[in-house]
Amino acid sequence: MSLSKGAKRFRINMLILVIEALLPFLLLFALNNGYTNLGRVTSAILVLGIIYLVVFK
Amino acid sequence: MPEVKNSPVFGAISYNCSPMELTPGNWLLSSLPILTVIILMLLFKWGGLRAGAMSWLVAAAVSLIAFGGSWLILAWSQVKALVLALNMLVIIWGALLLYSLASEVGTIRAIGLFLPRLSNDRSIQLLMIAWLLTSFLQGMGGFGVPVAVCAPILVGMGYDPILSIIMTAIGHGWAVSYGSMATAFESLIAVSGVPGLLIAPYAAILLALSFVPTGVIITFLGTGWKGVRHAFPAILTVSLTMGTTLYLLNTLGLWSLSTIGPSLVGIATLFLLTRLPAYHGVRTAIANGGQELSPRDLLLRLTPYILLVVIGFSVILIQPLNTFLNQVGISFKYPEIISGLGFVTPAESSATIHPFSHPGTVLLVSVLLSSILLKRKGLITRTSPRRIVSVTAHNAVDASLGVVMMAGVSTIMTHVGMTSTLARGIAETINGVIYPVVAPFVGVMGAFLTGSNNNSNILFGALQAEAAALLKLNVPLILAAQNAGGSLGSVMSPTKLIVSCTTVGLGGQEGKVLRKMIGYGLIPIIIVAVATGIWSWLLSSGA
Repeated sequence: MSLSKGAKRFRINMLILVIEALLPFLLLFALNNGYTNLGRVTSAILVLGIIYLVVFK
Repeated sequence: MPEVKNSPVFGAISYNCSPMELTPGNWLLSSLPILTVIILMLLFKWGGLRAGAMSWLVAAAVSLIAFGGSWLILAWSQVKALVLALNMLVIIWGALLLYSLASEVGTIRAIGLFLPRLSNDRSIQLLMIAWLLTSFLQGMGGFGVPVAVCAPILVGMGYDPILSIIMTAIGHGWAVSYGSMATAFESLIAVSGVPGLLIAPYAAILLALSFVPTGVIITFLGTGWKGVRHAFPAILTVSLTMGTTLYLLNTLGLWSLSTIGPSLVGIATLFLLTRLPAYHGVRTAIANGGQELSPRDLLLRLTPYILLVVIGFSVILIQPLNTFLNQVGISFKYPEIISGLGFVTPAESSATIHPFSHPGTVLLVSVLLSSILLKRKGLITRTSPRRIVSVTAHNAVDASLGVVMMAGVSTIMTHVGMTSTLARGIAETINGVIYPVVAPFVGVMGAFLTGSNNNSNILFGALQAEAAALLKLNVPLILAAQNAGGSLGSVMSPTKLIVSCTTVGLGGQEGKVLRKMIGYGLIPIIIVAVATGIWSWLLSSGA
């Protein structure tokens, strides 16, 4: 069963909201404990989520 | 800027800790995130969320490249932004839920039927809803509630959705400062170290000066110049009674009642005026598709709002209950943050959130209790809850993302010294004659950026006090101007517009709304600015 365009957009936006709400905490954890790669991946996802909002909203 | 390390001001705000050199280039870079939002929304008609996300990217890039920012600072900024946003989001989610419930049970239509019984005069109806009811709701609910509740009512009465947002937003602009237990005004007192009773008389008069223009703008937008001419005596009378109440409450130190009190007096005054033949309008049969609600049906459908008023009032005004509910408070501790260029943000705690007396909780409890009551009366069916939650969730996601983005822009700018550079640039380059006129606009800038009069006062209250002292101006007057500017300007912030637009089905069109709104929204602010300039000149010339 395929989702409607509105439902898809809602789910993506919900996912970005969750990412933006949780990743800063993960980023802090990574930076404070020296997990460099985790920090890089987390910050990249964080910024990509925001870029998605600029490009696709 | 003088050293004021002993001032309570700079214990919390780190303007003087800034080693940032104030140059035109730095100042311009600091203003880029705000300019981004304004240009994208006004010129390119971008939605608030999209413009906010772009502004976040600009703020992050500028902070990393030119202001000594780091990923650690960005992470802390975003964590602080989330806590800041959560305080607003709980209210927004509650307001959206209340609105969805009201739509489901036909409350909006019921209000549309009730108003003609009060008065058939369109201008009086408009003033009652867009000016006085919004102001009253601001006194209880604060962030987003007045527009979220009242704009859909105006749309239900047949007004254009964009105009409905503009009228309700401008209508409660004056009330923001003293709404939600006067949090914004208390913050101003705390950061400036100036006693509230010294600021209060100036603050009351400056805000009261916005009453007549506010009433005129609402009536003009809804009914044109003919309506303004017709309603002007009513606007003047309500302004006088509200202004007197505001002044008395403020000078008595009762500023936690300085929104609810004047609003109630304004509602009572306008109600009395509707008894006059000139404002009763033409009595016609209440036609709504051939239906008329009985008083019992009407009351039943108004349950969500009646409960909101009763619970909100009880929580604020019944002191033992307020004290009991405020026993639980949540606050977060943050460490000292130092940017790569040495800008220090001292270790601090977040504002305490009282979950049991929070306006968001009041909204949620109102929704729950009215749902139980309305279900018993058969107005809520088995499928209703699913529909209400679904509509709320769809509206809430975009609004929440927008608020988080704008809060993020504000915290990034604060933590690398961009905000202080921006404000210092204004304070240090403008002379003592012009500064009083500019002071309200500094408040507007803070409120536009953060979506909150409270945050504007926290960001710029200290700076305004220091600048006024340096320029030998009357400090309480300048602080009152900051407060008035923040209050009147906050209603035009993208953060609030995102919430407002969501409730009337204009999600993503915030740029279009802001473009139409800004001209009208600036009128009361310009009046306050000119009044501050004249008052300051009179004080300094010893008149």
